[in-house]
Amino acid sequence: MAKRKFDLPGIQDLNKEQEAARALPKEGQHLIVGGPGTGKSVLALIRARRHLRDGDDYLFLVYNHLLHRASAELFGEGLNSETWIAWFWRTFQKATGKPVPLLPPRTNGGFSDIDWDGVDTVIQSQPVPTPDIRQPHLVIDEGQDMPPQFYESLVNLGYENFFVVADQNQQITEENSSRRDIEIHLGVDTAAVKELTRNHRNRYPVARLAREFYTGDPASPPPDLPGQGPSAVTVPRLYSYAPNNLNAVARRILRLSDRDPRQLIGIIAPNNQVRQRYLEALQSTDVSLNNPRPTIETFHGDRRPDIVFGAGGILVINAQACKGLEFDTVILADIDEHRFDPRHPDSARRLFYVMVARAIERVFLFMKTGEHPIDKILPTDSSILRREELK
Amino acid sequence: MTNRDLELFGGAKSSEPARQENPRSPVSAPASGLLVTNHLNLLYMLAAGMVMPPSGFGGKYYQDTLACCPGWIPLFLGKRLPADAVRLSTSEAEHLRPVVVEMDLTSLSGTVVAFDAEGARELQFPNQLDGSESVLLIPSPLPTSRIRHIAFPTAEDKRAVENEALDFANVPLRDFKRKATKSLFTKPSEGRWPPGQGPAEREAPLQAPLAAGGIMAMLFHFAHQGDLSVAACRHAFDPDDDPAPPVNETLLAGLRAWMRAGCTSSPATDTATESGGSAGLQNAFQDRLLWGAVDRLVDQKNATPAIGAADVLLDYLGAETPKLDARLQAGAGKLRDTLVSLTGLADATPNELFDRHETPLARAMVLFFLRDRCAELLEFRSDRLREPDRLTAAILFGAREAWMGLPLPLRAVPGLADAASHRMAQMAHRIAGTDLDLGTPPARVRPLRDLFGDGRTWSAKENAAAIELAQALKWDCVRTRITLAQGEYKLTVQGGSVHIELPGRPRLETTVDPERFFHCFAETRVGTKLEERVRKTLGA
Repeated sequence: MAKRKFDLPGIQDLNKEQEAARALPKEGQHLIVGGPGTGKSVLALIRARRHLRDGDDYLFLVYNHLLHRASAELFGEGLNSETWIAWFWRTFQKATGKPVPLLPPRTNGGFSDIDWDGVDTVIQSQPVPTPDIRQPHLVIDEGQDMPPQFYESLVNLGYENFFVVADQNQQITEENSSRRDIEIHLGVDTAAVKELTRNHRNRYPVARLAREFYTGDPASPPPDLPGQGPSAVTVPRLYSYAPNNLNAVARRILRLSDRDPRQLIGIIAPNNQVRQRYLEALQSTDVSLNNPRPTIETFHGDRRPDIVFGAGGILVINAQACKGLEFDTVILADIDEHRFDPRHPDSARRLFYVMVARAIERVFLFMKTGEHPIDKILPTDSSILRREELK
Repeated sequence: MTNRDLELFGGAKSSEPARQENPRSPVSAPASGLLVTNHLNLLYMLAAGMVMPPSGFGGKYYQDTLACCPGWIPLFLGKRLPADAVRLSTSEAEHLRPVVVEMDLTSLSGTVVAFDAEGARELQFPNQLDGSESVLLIPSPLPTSRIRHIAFPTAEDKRAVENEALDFANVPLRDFKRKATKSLFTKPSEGRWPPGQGPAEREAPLQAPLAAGGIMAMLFHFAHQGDLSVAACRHAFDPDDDPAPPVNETLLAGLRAWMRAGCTSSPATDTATESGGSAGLQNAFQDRLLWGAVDRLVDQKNATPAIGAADVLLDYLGAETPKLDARLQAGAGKLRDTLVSLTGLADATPNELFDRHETPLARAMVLFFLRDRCAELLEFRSDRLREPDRLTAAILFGAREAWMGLPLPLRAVPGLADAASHRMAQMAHRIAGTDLDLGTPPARVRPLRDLFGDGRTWSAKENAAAIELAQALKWDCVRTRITLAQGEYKLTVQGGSVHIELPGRPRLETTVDPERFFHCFAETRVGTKLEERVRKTLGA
């Protein structure tokens, strides 16, 4: 299996604003904000690596299971990482001797949300500082996805050292935190927040396409485009294909993987049907390759396979699961099947913004031949998105 | 400073009039000078392998003494430093730590500018020093191999910077001597900083030398493949060493020329008039197109906005193809089509691509589009690729990633960084036309493959080293001959073992089949620790 791992950056790869964030002291409360590709997660991993090197007690918190796996495997051996919810659940119980209070389920037999008012009540009744719990340095990735009360609770439980990286424009949960929320709860002065403004992850053509879908608050502009200028050839492609020709699509994807088995290809599907269709086509298409057939995995709902982010291969996921992940190549499968309400085109644009920005190197879009409403949000400039027919 | 007449370099006064006005006795040359900077600039320069001007920092330069006279390296000659110089070097950001770098000045010679109490003057270093000088301005760059020590104000600063260096893939701080020297930072001199009007800004060409460093390192790492690779490595480091290439190989001639000049001297399309038949034309075309592409990759590093390397190569091919001999146009066009297809979802495996394109340059360009990093190229395997294909690719990859981009494992061979650093700085001065002589370069590190010669006359040491290497890597090339005395042999089976009892003492001779050995060697990259062990056995 080809190896893929988090490579430390070269000194020339970090700019001055990233250096200022990297130089923040270990102690205290720090917030770093920036759009997709500005290097927030790289800084968080560098910070974790430094804690590990120094033998510090630290914890790297992520939003969900996929991000937990991705961070742990890219980091290599030794990352002390957990999902925020699992860790909070355990920590709260240990600190207070009580389970985390829950709201009634939204639906019969459904999932219960945390009762944050109840959490606060329990914590306020505790002696201060809370005895007998570890107080590791907390490094928090995608910090906008955790609720504001999470930060409030941690501070009230006596936690003091935070290194939070966040992007307000990439919130995916209903209970997420704004930049201001995090500032207030961690007591970070607005002027002390480190802002990362330049895109370093995505190649220029990827970042340029992502920008086409940006709908964010004008007060929080998208990251500057990477320093590298436009490319005449490495432009993202939109391939249209005949619906009965999915095997040709699968064949091209398998050969793309074969040309560089170390790359991780993320296929992002609009729904479960498309996800399953692509998965089956990739698994069944007969094609000659130079290397062993790539690992092809999927992730949905209850199925949590041991996805190997530390190796190359193909991961087929739904759009909702792609947040925070990073792939060498992103393939947006059958974009014609994304829900599109012409009255609210921005919701589709937001989704495309997040999906496209998952790519480091390249983006390919697939659409079945014919006219589709989603076309309305796609750029028509061929220097940004080139359209080709796949035969 | 007095308002002296500053002439040469747009500023400092030439040395002869100075001698006439104020003749002084020559003094012994200082063995070293001190550069005041901050830790982030230092780490950047260590990664680049050169002490260089602000223009070399790609937008990540923090104010320090190098900004005083851009293109010149200010070195203090006393043990005390102006407080303003230290203050300036940490003024730009709170997180900067002051650093003093002691640069070795022995065996350095050429035109420099010196500051003394009367101002700046140009002089020939070291012969025209008179002992009054407080600061020397040396034309940039200097190799980091001339760093003697790096001094920090406190042990805590030293530890913190050592720790920070570990955040980066390409900062070899641990290779340099480091110490905490409080007095350098707490007992300032009376001197001012900046000391006065210095010479005019000068350009220091850095991109070609950095590309040359990348090429040197890549050809070193590919030198296990065979004789051509060993020769290429030798020519990359020392292009003037051997005036006649050992084989009639245009690749080596081009390599020598480029490593001397840092650019090609003739356009690629001169090949249209080459003689020597189709093969000769093809070779000459390949060679010139290769080095033309290297030139473009170097130029691209200075372009604003930066252009992707793939675009550079495609643009270059597109521009050159129509000018080519008709016999070559079709091939060049086909290659360009393939490269464009690789930016999309091409329906081809790497081997199919290599089968379509058989020349070293075409295959190297295909590889250039299949992989980004030098480390990835070193791991790439395909039985279609031949030695010239890989060498050509190594040159393109080295030029693209350059010395700066190489991670530490690719620089970790003892002596490699010093040898490359000196030669990069030397090339920069050659291109700029300065008369600064950096002295004899550190000897290049001979690749392990080179140390085994041709295998025809191995010494006992070489044989032992070959056995050690072959056994460690499980190469099927070791043979043992047992010479038995005449007599009766008794075979016994005891438990699970078989014993043969012999009269006298048999003679064992273990040898390595050189042909098989070199074949296996060509296919394998030897790990750093094993290489160290084998070098020790060889006494190298």
